[in-house]
Amino acid sequence: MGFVVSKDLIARDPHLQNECTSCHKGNAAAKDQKAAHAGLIDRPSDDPEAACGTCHPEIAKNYTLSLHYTAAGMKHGVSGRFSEAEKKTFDAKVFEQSCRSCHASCGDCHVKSPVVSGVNLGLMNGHQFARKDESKTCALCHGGRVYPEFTGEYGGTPDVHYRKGMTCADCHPAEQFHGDGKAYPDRTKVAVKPSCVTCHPLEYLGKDSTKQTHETHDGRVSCSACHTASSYRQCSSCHLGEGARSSPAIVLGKNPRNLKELTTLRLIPTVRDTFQKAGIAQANFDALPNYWNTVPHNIAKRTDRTRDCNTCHQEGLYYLEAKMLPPGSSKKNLDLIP
Amino acid sequence: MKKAVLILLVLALTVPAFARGIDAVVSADWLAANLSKVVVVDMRKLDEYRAGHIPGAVSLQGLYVAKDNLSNEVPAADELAELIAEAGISADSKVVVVETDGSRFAWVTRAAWTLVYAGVADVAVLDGGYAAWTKAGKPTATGMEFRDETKFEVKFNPAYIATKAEVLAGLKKAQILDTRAYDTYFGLSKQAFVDQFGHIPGAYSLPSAWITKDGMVRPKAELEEMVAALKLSPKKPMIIHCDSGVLCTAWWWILTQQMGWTNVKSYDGSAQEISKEPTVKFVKYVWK
Repeated sequence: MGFVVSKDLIARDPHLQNECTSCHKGNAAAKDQKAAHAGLIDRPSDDPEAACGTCHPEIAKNYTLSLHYTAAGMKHGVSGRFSEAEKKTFDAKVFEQSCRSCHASCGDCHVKSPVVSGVNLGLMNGHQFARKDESKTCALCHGGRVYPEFTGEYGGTPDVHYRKGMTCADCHPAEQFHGDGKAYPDRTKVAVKPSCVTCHPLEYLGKDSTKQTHETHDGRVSCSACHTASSYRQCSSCHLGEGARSSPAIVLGKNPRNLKELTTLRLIPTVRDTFQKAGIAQANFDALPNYWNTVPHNIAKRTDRTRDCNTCHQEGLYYLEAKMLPPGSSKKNLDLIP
Repeated sequence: MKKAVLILLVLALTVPAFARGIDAVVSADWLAANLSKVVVVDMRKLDEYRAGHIPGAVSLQGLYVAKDNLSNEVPAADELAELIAEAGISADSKVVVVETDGSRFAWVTRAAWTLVYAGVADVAVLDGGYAAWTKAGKPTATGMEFRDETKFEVKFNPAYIATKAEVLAGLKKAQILDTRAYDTYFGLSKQAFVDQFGHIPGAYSLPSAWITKDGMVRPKAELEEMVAALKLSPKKPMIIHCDSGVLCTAWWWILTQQMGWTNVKSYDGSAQEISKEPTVKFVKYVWK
């Protein structure tokens, strides 16, 4: 068993050349534990500007406005279902206690694994600071579906980018995590975000026949609709109703944010009584669908859809149908059926 | 003279024509001495590979995929060709496949089986995996490494794989070798994705877990003794299976690539597929 800090670690990590108290406070001169721990701060970077911001002021300031810190995406993902009064109740009774308890501090990505449902793996490598260690950080919060889909650990095809040696931060670089200093309501509104065409501009893609196919579908079908390799986890696979079993699927339907586009959809497990205990009836539940556009992280060059046009054009194999909609789900879902 | 000819003839019949350019299982010492002559492919997770790997090794992911409701299947030919080509492997390459350690022996043979099935003749697995390499104090490298892409074309060898139809046809004629754990074979436990407890009637039990000891492959003579004890014959057709097509490749690898048996097929649909077949009734609480 290694020590949390060691002389070797202190020598090679500049963060540890400061006194422990410079971040964790407490009293280093005290002789007993109680006195030494007086005023101790367990997780200094819960306040990024006060802790990390002393040396990294711009990053820390920006980060306080980023979605990983504000968790604003969670709020705005459901607030459209609430009346004005319900929005206030949500903010007071649900958001801070539940959604925002998931916010990531600086240390959750750079020192220790983040807490997920009250559980975490502790320090990643003693108290050594890590620039990035995605399998111990990103993979935990996004391990219900995204990361294991990406690596193929769910048994599906590993994402082509993973196979080429890329991990999370290669498409989602630090600047995007730390934010650009603006507070965004959700990830779809962020100014700079990953996009397939940044690296794969359509005009340079593939053979002539492939170019034509891409031109035909451009603006009407998302990249993921054709290039998702295999079934991906639906949130409902685990969260909808008692005894739900994992049942991955590919679901193609109209993008709720752009009805002119066919894309991959994921069923979000918000049901009519989700917030009942908080006294929120969701007065406008039917204003938002239960299916949302998603980019499954198991991208492949070749899939059954790229190999055979009939998969969509004759069989409509993965298309959302009315009979697939969960009982009592939002009426808005009907708008998404191709 | 006649006796010598007879011995040669018997040898020729029992030890089939079998020429490999590389041993089926190689040691860390051998690999270190021959590193420049082989393509090393690392099957471990990408972050493990990046953190440390055998110098020159390339990461290779996706050699087995879930499809058609089966957990571990061979990718489509064009997909597989691309994976192998991008790893810098040609049909005449000498390839060494590396997994984490001996506990992943069946996973490394599953990858190696896929390569030989796709038409790469000279494939070896590293005994003891990357753990044996580092334990032996061999040098390591970090980050990503790539080799020049080849123009590899897949030529599947149907002699290496059993389809469900072949298994159904061979139930009474072939030697069925069940490589799952003993209690699974006996019918005490089963994987959730397998529909029946027990085993195919008449199947022999030879767990793949027995191939290694302390993370290293047992001596060839010892493995041969195990096979001989079951009175399995290299002359009769054999179908090897497990639950989902991984464990079975371990014994397939030893029998065909190390011992030279030529009439052995690995059934990658395995119990996951055949247990759903109404005409196949597994038996339990019996040995063979």
